[in-house]
Amino acid sequence: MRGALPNWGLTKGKGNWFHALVSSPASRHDQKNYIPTSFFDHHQKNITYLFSPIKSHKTVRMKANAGTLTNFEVLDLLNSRGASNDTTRVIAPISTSEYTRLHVVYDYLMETPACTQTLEIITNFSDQCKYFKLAKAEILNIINTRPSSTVNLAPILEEPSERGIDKKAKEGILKLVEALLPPPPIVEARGENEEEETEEGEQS
Amino acid sequence: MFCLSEMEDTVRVPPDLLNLPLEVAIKKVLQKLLLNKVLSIGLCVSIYDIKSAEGGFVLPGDGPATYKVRFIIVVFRPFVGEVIAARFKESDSNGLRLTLGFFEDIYVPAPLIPRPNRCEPDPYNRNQMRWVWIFEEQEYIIDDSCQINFRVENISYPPVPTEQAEDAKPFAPMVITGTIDDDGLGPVSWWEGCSERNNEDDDT
Repeated sequence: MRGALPNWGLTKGKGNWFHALVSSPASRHDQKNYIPTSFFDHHQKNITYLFSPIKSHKTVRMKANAGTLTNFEVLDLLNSRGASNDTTRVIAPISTSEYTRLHVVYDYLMETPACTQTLEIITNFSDQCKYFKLAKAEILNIINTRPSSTVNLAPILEEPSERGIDKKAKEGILKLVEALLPPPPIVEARGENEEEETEEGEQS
Repeated sequence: MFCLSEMEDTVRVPPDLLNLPLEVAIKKVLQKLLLNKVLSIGLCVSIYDIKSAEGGFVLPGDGPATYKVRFIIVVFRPFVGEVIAARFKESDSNGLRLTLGFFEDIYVPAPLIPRPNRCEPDPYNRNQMRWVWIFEEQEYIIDDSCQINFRVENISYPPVPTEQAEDAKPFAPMVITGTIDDDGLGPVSWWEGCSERNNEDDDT
């Protein structure tokens, strides 16, 4: 069982964020075993791991941020580990405490918009976002929270007026969100309906 | 919210695990060591992958086999400026406390609650205080009726205290400070009427 998924380092600005993932031979992690190492050679230039010389510390952190994950990817990872709603099934390779913790994280993520997303959706969305010149952190925020109105988008955008993002651009972003990202789940617990009543319609 | 982090460590695999395949055994030891623990880079949620393990020498006088392992873990570490959906946990005169289920040390101190506001004893819960935002002569209560969006202001890792009073709160190794003082932040119910108004404007 080898291989690691590509890192999507937000701190490194080169290239299209999702490029490495989309063009990899195995772009899903719903397999029990992760991707074979052929991926590494093929995409060497997109990998930003750099192995620093090994020192004799007890724990050496090679790379603190080897890639930021959207909520969807973590959810996908948990699904592939079997942390789904089937609580009766005992998962052999995972110890009890990991199972419990994964379950709590899983429950949290299932209430966020991540549970209705797929890899194609978020890749497509981030591709389209480049027209609006958004920072990667903002794209991540939008994917994770799926803002449905200007007021929900406001805390995500930093200094929009100074960057030339006017009302029209904000509406454009919201239309993109509406068209490409599926609506979040209905949160049953407190009777709050987060789903938008009106659809803005297909991509204009 | 989640990142991958690559690390290297010396792992001692106790003899009772040596009948398992190497990867499984190392994973078990790593899980016990790292899972649910807060490292300097965040809260470790899951072991993602083991990249390499070398060594396997048994040192004289010692039972476990020692491996030098390179692995990747999934850590929970939001970035400053990230908008996260959380639930209300409790509040007191210092501010609010929010929870994500798997992480409960999110504090919104009083200065980061939108003003003007007031703090009053909670009529439903004798021990708690309740915060109320007053805007345009309308009162907006902060309670657990719906999801609360907040933006990360700061993450701190307080050092482990050497002594603690008997009744002090359990030590929190990682504390996130958030703000709800911006458009779109705070309980989602505050902004729902607003989004309908925005939609009407867009249609005309």
